[in-house]
Amino acid sequence: MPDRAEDAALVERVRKGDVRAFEALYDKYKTMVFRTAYAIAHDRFAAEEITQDCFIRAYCHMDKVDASIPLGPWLHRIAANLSYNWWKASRRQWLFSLEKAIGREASKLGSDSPAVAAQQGETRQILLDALESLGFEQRATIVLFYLGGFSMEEIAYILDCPLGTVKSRLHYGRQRLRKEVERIWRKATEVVYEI
Amino acid sequence: MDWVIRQALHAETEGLEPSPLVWQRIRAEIQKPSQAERPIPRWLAARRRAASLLQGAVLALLVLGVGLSFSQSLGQDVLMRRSTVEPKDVKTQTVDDSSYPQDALNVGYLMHLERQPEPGEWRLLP
Repeated sequence: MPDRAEDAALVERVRKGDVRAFEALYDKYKTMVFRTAYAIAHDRFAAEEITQDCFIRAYCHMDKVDASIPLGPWLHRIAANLSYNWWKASRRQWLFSLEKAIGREASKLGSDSPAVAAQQGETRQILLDALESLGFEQRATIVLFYLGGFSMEEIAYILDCPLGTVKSRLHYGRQRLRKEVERIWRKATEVVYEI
Repeated sequence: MDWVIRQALHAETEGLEPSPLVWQRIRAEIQKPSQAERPIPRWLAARRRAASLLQGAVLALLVLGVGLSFSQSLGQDVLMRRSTVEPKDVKTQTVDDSSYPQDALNVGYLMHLERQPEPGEWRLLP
């Protein structure tokens, strides 16, 4: 495991106060953490905030890092906690979310037909919208599994829950996504037939 | 479905990177010495100690002053009240044995009996 050994060496240097070593760690993991945060939050500004806070916290708790386990899940565990805090706070700003949703629906109405929409990658957008309709736990599990490429055991560690919970969240999350996508497609097709 | 989800998420986040400002903010935060770590100069420590001593002394004086003035005013108030109170006639009340209600326990009678009274016997007193 050269990767893990390299991380352990960098962590050791960070513990001695080497900021350059921490910068190397940041460069290595920033994209992964940022993209995961973005996929959960669906907000660039929030993803940057989460990434920033995640690395600051990681630096402050570098003495607690277990060098025998990979650093990625540990960093994602911090990022997941921060994302959850952001998600809780953003739920209160329901008006803002409503505006966003209205904007999206308006842009959807602008697209002509499912065929055209499919060409424009509308399926992707539908799926992402459906993903956004999921609760935090299911959304985070799906993002960590499909985007982060983490194993179920790693996701259980990141989200601090049993392995069975991860499996069921993934199963029901996938099921709900399928239903949501089907529902949205059916709705779009009905609109076309009405026209 | 798995493929669709994976593709959608990867396409959504492809090319996304945090702005360089993020690292600048992180570095500024981690290099900022915390209040606890920053060494305090000796002169500043002495000044702080002197200031806290002075504060304590001022506080003690204030408490003492308030306490003294309060106790003085209280003493004067009590004296003034005593001087204004008129002495009342003390009436002595004598109780006639015969005026006891029937259901009252007559100790004298009980002592005179020199035996345990029967239940309800004391009620029969004149």
